Amino acid sequence: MQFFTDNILLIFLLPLLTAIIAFTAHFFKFAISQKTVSVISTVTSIIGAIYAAALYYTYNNCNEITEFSVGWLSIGDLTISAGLLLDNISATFLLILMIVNIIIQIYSSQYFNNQKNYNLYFGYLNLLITSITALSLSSNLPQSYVFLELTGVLCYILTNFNYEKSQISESAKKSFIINRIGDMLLLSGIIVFIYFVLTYPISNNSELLSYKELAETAADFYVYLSDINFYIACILLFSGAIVKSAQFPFHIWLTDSINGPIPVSALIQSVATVSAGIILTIRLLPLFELSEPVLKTIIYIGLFTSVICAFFASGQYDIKKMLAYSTSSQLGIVFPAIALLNIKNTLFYMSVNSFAKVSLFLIAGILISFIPKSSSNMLDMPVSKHQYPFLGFCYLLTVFSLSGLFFNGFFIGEAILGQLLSQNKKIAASFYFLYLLLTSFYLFKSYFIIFKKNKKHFAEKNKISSCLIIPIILSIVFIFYPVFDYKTIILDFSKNYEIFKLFDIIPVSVPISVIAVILAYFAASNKISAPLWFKKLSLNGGYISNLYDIFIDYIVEFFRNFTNIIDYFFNFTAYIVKFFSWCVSVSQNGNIQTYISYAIFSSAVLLVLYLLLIAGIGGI
Amino acid sequence: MFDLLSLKILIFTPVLAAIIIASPLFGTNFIYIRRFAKTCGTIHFLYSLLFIVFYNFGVESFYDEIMIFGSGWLEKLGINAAFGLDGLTVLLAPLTSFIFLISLIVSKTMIRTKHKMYYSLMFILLSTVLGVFCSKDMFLFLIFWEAELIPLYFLISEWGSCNCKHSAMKYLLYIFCGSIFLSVAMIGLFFYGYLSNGELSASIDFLRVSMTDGIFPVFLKKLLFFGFFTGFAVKLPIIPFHIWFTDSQSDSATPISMVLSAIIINTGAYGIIRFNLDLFPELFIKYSPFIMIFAVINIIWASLAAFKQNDIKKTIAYYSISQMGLFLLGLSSLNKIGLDGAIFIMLSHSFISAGLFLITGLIYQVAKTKTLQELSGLGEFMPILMLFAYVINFAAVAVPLTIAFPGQLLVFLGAFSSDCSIEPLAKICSFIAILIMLLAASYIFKLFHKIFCTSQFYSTKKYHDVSGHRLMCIAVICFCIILFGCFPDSLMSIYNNFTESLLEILRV
Repeated sequence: MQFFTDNILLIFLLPLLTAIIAFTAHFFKFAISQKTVSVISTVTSIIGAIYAAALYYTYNNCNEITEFSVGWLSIGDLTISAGLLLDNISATFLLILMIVNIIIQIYSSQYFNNQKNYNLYFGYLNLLITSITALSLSSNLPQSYVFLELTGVLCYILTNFNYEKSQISESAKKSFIINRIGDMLLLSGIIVFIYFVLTYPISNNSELLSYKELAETAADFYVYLSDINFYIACILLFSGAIVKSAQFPFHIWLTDSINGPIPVSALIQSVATVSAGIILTIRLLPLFELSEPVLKTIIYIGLFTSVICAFFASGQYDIKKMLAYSTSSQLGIVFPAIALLNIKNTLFYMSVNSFAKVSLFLIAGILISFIPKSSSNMLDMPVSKHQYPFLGFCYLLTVFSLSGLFFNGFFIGEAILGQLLSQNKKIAASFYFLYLLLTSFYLFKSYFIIFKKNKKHFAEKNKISSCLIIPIILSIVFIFYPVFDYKTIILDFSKNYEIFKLFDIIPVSVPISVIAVILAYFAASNKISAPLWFKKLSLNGGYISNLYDIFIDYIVEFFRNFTNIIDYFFNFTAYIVKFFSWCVSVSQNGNIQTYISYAIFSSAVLLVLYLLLIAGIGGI
Repeated sequence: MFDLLSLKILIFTPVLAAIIIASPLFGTNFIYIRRFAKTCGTIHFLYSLLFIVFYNFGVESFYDEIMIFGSGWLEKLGINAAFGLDGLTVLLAPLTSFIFLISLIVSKTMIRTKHKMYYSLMFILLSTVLGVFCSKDMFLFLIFWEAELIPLYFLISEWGSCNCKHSAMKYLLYIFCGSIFLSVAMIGLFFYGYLSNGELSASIDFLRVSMTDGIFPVFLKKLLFFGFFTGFAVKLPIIPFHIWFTDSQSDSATPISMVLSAIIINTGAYGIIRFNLDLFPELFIKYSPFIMIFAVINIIWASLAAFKQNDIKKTIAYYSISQMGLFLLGLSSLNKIGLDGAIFIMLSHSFISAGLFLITGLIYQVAKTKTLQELSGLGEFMPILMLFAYVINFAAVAVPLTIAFPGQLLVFLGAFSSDCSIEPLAKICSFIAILIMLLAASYIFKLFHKIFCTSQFYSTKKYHDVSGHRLMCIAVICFCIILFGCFPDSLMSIYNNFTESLLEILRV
């Protein structure tokens, strides 16, 4: 185990090296074949996973922290360092990341088969993995910012991978720009933070910036700033996480980014955004937990997002869009879990959510590939449960877990709910119930629609490559295999039901899901239906995306006219100069008659003036 | 070794090269001319790198003076041909040489007429720019500053497109108007220094001393400060004096555009540091709130104006202007962080705008247009160029681990922590600047997507991707962008002493 801790840099270098190999293979086509690249990539991902597992078992049950850093950028007397922080949080993140990485690598090797940019894709993918690894291991706030933004950039590049299609490139651009908003807000938060560290009387050490010392710094920060300023600074820092984790009102970038390739969407929605937003919030928790309003804001932003996005998801017929909204919605539940100061729950929930998302996306990818025209509408999917019993079964299992009816999903849902209730957050708990209802509803609705028994168009049964099946099995295994020691979770859970009694909770949350399932069954077969305006509102995502467009268009149009002023002013000056030069040019045309006439005219004028002058003097 | 590293050689060898090119030695054989020019450029760049290698990290080094028959140049008037490098110019000189080398290399396919004149003018321009950076004497600075106009005027007007003659005239008039203020201020400074001290000298170090202990009337000082600032503001360019820049950018040939935005703008920035900040520190402190407001207006205006442009080159020119606004913001914050950031922005902007203009030039070569509406879907034909465009565009919007990020971070932080006399102004300016940089992301990527993505551009013609010397140039620029982005301290440690000395002047 000592080996893994000592050579921690290897965990970056492996994907980075793979990326370099893949880029080399892309640009110098003679060097390495596609197959070799994918094999190298998969093997390094497996090594990475072994590595991460070793780190996980070293750090999981102890509070040991390993940290080292080197200087990167000097800011006045302060030095921003680049370092590594290894504790149980980052080890857990790494494990989730690396397992998802294996799944995505295997799936991509088949999904992108025989495409011309195959190697390029693997290059970008491994760079993204490097970036997320660095993000989860980063030891201070500025470094987190660096890799947070790098992750965003690489997600954008991968989303824009098939840039020839204008729809894809437009939505990739939009998602990138919305991501930038978050980055800029986070940057301003970081600037406030560094400013504090710089002006702080005893701040001669750069250690103050690191997460390890954050608790102490945060306490001083809290004393130093007034309440409202502290609140603003915290919200600025948190807004970075809001945007990255696609919370309301910035969730629309996630629905834009799903136009990219399926494995990329799976990776973005299961690990990239999750780890980006959540690890930042977890790391900054010592700061946030000082102020009650900040924690409340975090809880309610999360819960509101989870409900509103679940509502938007329930109107979708596009499976990718539905999954994107569901990601936002489920991440919304993570934030209350963090704000309730229960990191174990958060990590556990995240693992459940990540693997479930991966499995749903991968199944959706296979289903979409069956549709002849490139669409991802659920109603167009010519499949049935009997044709693909395996896919249907996997889909169902995942859906069960996500809607809190089954095993891991159930435990974690109950744990969060129990904690909400134990802290007497009644409104929050009712939000949670609403979320549960909607989530179960749309997930089961999608299941019933896709795997309907009697469909009109049965396509011929396609053969599914084993490279596509293995990742799905892997993700299903990890949904149900308790990788993250959930004994503590179950302990928490049992403690909760000691307080609230088993029958107080289970009759509330499980029946809600069951009712939702029944509703979903009828909704899928069009036996019940919501009002049309309601459906439309949900289908269009509350018209938030349109609002963005109108707003941006309006602003740009306004300033477009406004900035012309200077041009007009300078052109006006130029016209005046031109006018005078024209006057001069008229008078000097080189024509002798003109000059003579000028001379006669001006001498006449002079004469008149002279006479007038004499007359004037005479008059006086 | 020190004798070998002579600033005279650094500054005047390009003139020698220009004379050789202009001489009948090569006849009309433009291939030889080109090769000779590239060789000279490479040697000059390597030679200028030696100055960094042997830089002793003192505040001042490599002092050099031209002696004519044992006495200084115009010694009776107190004007000496003295050159020197400090922490800032030791970086700017190789940077200048580097950008010139790149633009000489890409000239191969972009300049097709009058090779002899073109290459000799380029070398004369290089020499004058280096002269501006290295002068230790005020009037020598002015001479090089004015001499810069002549080659650049011909370079814009002879090899440009559209109405380049008009733009070149605009350039000449604007800069000349600025120079009038500059020269009047210099003469005023010179004679008042003489009146108060009884010694004729135009040496910058001498003037700095005479400014501090002299009995300068405050009103005259203000006038001189204003004169200097106007002169440099036109070159920087500060809005509303920016029209020459966007026009001449859009009409000149690609190598000239690169030089204009990467180097010529830097001379204005350098001038503000060298004269306004160095000679009038107390006035700079007094006026820093106004300069800060100017800077923010610059950033906002340029970012908004960039949106409406149809011409790619004009958009990038506005991007340059907004970056110079950031430079000014960092400078006006008047603390270590802000000054570090401002100088870093100067350096990073050179690489990025050179890269952006190079990409535009390469697109212009294949698509024969620089109008945004007529371009789309080039990524299909030019994937390699697109990859490099990714890197440079990310650098332009200051993504971390590219060269622009440290500069912007330092500038924002410096402005935020500046002890400006009007209390919340600095903080508000800093926040506005951060938010406005969002617009940069949106117009730069609007451009990028319109050019490279989407395929509504169906053409029977097959476009060739970049290769050969063009690929090499753009790869080198991208390499520098990433290298200095990953190791920003390598640049900052070189000019660290320079900012320290500036701060000492400011503290007095």
